[in-house]
Amino acid sequence: MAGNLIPIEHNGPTIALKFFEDDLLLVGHGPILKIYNYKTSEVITTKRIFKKNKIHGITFDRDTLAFYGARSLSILSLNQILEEEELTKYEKMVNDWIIAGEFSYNGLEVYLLTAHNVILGVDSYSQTLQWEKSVWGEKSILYSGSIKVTSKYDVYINAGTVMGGVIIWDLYKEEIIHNLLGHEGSIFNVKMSENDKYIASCSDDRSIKLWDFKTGELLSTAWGHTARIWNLKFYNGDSAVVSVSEDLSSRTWNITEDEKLVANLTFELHSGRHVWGLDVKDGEMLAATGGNDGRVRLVDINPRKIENETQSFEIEDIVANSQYSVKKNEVVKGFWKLNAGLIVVTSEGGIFRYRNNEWTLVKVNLGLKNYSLTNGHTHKNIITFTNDKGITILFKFSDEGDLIKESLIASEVSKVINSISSIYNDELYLLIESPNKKEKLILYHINEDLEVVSTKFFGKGQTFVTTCFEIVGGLVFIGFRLSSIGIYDFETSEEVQLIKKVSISDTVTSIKTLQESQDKILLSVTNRDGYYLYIEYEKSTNLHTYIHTNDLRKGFLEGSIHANQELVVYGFKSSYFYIYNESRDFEIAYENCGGAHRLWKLFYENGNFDFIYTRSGALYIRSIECPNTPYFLGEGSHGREIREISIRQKEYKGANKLYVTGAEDTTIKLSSINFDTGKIRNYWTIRKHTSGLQKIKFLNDNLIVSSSAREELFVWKICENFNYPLISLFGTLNPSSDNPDLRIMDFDHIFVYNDHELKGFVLVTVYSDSSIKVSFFDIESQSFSPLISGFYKTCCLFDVKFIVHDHKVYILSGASDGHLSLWDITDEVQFKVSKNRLNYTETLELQNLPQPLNMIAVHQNGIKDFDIFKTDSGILVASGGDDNGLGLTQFNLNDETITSEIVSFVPNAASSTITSLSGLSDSRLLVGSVDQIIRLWTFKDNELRLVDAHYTTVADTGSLDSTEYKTSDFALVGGIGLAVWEIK
Amino acid sequence: MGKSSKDKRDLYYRKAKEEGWRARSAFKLLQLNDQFQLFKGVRRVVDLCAAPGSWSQVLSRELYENNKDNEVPPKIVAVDLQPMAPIDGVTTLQADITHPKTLSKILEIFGGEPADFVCSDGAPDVTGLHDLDEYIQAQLILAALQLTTCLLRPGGTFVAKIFRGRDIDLMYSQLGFLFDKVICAKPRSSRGTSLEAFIVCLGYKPSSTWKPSLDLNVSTEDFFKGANIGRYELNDELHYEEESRNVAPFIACGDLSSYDSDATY
Ligand SMILES: C[S@@+](CC[C@H](N)C(=O)[O-])C[C@H]1O[C@@H](n2cnc3c(N)ncnc32)[C@H](O)[C@@H]1O
Repeated sequence: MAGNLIPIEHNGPTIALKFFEDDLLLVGHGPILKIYNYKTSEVITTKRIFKKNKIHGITFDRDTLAFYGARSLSILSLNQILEEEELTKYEKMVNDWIIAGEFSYNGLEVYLLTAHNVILGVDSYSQTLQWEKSVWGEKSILYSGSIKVTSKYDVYINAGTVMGGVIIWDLYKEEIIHNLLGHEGSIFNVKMSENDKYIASCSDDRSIKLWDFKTGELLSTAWGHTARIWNLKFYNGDSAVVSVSEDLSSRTWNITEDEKLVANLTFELHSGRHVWGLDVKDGEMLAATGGNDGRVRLVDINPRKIENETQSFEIEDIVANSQYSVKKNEVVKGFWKLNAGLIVVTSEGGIFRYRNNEWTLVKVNLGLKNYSLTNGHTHKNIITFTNDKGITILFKFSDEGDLIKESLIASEVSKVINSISSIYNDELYLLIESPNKKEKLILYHINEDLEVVSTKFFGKGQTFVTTCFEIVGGLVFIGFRLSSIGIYDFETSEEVQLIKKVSISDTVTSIKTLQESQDKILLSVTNRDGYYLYIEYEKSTNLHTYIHTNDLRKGFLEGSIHANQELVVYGFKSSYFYIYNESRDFEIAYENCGGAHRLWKLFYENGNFDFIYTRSGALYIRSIECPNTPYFLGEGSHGREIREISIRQKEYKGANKLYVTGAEDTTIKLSSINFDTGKIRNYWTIRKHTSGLQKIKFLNDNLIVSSSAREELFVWKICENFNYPLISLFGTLNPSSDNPDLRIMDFDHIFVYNDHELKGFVLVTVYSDSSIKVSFFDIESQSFSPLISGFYKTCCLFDVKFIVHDHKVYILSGASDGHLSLWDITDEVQFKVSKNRLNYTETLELQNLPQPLNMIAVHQNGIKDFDIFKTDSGILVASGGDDNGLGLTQFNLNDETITSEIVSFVPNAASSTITSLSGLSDSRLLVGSVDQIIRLWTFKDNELRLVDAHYTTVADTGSLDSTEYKTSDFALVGGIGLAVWEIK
Repeated sequence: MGKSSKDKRDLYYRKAKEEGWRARSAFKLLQLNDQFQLFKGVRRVVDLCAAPGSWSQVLSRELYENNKDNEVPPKIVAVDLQPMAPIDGVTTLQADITHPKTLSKILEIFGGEPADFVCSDGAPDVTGLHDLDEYIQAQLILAALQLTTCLLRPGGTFVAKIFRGRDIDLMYSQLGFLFDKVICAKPRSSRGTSLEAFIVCLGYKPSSTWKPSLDLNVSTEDFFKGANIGRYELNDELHYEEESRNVAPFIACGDLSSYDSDATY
């Protein structure tokens, strides 16, 4: 068995992390070690440490490093790691799971704590076992533990048992020091502080307990995590603890002077479920966390973080340096951040400037009383205040912060309810709205000298309230409540179009230009309900198309920023304000501001954000600076099991192909892969399904179908006109009832043409209640109509395929009873077959599924996946089952009566369920199983023969897809993680 | 470890309610018995990880209720971390089966007499770290096997729940040293979408060279030292070793007309 299967790259849960020397971070990605320069995100080296086992821990003494995971151990020098290619030959084994490893005080030995509470002493030079130590009668099973080396003779073992106890024992005395009782359930982590003062432990009960090491006294119990806590670490001179959890959050806790553990910061750094890995670079207060999503996040955990980044001012603080007496109930009424400083207006007309950490009174203008509508142009140092009578006062400042010009605009309206602004060609545009339906919207173009360059009037629909606007390409796009957008000609002020119901309901919160060309405009639109989309607008025809649609699912969505080709969104979730990088799927920052009902504004420049808001009369400035370390290392993938992968045949921009994955986390990811480097790049995480994905497939270069439980099936469309791919919802198969609870297990399609025009596709869907449905999707109307409906038996159908053979259309399905069944639906499908494609006809009626023509028991249990290969006489079906078997069944479709026969069957083709298979050229078959072995088979001359088998690091291996690229085949293997393979 | 398909509306769930079983698991044991005649001639049984007790209910019905006229009453001992409501003819014990003390206690109850059948339907709390979860599950099976080697009569039967992951073939191989036949059985009542299956070990053949003995300071790892069942043993010279693997034959049990646990209605 020569190596035909070559692993190229692995993305999976990240458990082990260790900061090393000045700027290195060592990360275990499964069995593979990556050394990053965490300041530049450069990967210094990638080396496989273990043959199969995952790296669960890393420890070092000077430049000697020890890696452990499961029963494996490897002790290597930094030089070896950097210079030698092949390191797995150094892998050693012990007889038990290694819970923790640590070097002895002088570095000559490595202590290994096993899952049965035994310490093995290994000589770090000869790498031989020296001794075993334990405490009598306490060799019970552990989920967690740690080793604390204090001096040559003082070594403490902190063992977390499964029955709620933490046993602290002295290694050299082999004596128990404390048995700390109080937790419920298994202990999942226990650590001792650097100075031996405290012990922190966490368990199944979701609490963190702080204990006094000397006395064993319980000092404090802290709550906050909503699921199990997997890792803990003391930092900042043992005055704080950081924890990571199954609940996806990472939290910090301060130890107060009276030794209580108090919650401080909360971060949501990963996606899916579980954060495992944790290390802290103490001097820099930088934490690295590793998630199930395969990413490493770097985050500032300075306990003073919020204080350092936030300034808050009561009205008294603002006026403190000025000759200004605060009136009763006087509050901040408006503000804008200018280059000249932050300008604030109070409800009594006091205008103040905050610059270089100092407040100064700019002027008092009693006329400005209740001028609460504030707008501005940051770079041009212009701020405007509008009152409800239609008067706008404009101020211009110098870069040094001096007021250099004032001006006034009186709008002829009976009343003003809204004044909003937008920048176009670096000039300020101000839009004034009256609540009176008859009065038009007024748009002012204001130049640098505060002069009105032009005034335009726009009519508006009866029930609309404006929320935002954008000027681009000679058009004005105005966002309204009730999710609609008005498009007006800038020159003539004519309404060109009104787009209604961009989303189901709620307000359009922002419209932003992403790109403009000769004939097209690309806009991003956000809706308060979390829905956002990209609209492509064709100037000549005024046609608009939604080319990207998604749902943020994060509370209220208030706007977006397009920075470095990435979409950053922000809004409110309960009492928090969030800033989220939606393109790369990570949280940038959050602020507990008390919720959406307040004055607020987000300013962005060069990666830095200023979130300015008022709360109970005070003004808050939260400054989020672009960190000097990257937000994350490693691209990663879904944080839950990947259930299905589909690679597009067509190449995407050179060396890459696009692929989609559907996961247990209910999301779909659109990504690309570079087969030369193995590098993946995620573009979008699509949130539409409400339950874990069952299937997802590319139908052609731009159509995708996905299915899940609750009878959800969606059609998606890819758009490649821009710098990165976009994906939008294109159709929905309606469920059969209002409260659907069936799973759509699988589907297949055949395209339908009208002459040469693609009209749509016929789709067969199979369900968990044994039903089979066929419907037609019309591309023009973007809707499905039913064609055939029926049942198989009473068992669950797992998979289905269409077969077109000799002017006939068949359905082949695999079920949980191990049978393959074949139906002839040529008549019922109604479209006629010619040249292996279906021809469109107009009138369609719902037909009953006929009786199956053929059924054959191939497997003892469920058929998890099958693939078909056409032959002259019919088809060959390769199938994999829950029974570990791999079958090859031949269906003869040419004869009068259709016959089937198992031509080859390998009962123990895997040691566990075969979950996925994919046909390759040359009668080859790639097969994945939960035994974590990828096998390559051939079936030349109708006999299944194993060609190669290779271990995969992806656990719960549930899906694979393959594709040809250059002269090789490549495969993506998904489960908990995603691996890239080359098949020679 | 099993994939969670949360809908509980499957037919076995309803049927268990109707027939008075404490859990739908009862059908798994019944279907295993249909296939392997596990209860034939069985008088003394240990049911490990037994709560809430549906397997014990099945055992009670088959060995106790149906044989009331027999002079010597059968012996059924059920053990779990969780408390269990009493069942006729069943002795219950609340304890951790990985703890050596528990095994000694069970031996005591049998008073030197061997058992005919040991079963374990144990499943630990899963963490989500697949390799660790598989390891802990293997430890649970090994703890059951520890007891089995001390208690089961030659020729007796051992059945345990497994999750078919990457190292399950190590387990098949090791059990192959101690039993005539090792089979991986999947009852139809166990969901096809779950990795759960049962290892059915028939015909216990004790080692002639290794004497299993329970000692309070011996971990499961130490216990099997010298047993020659293909487990890696710790030496001063640490090295890398692949333990031998073996695929057990797979048998689906319960006939095809029985209900499908993957279907939804
Ligand atoms: C699936 S349930 C058993 C169901 C049972 N066979 C029935 O039919 O009702 C698994 C049981 O394993 C038990 N268990 C897990 N680890 C154990 C341990 N170390 N010792 C004893 N019981 C354990 C759990 O408490 C749980 O009740």
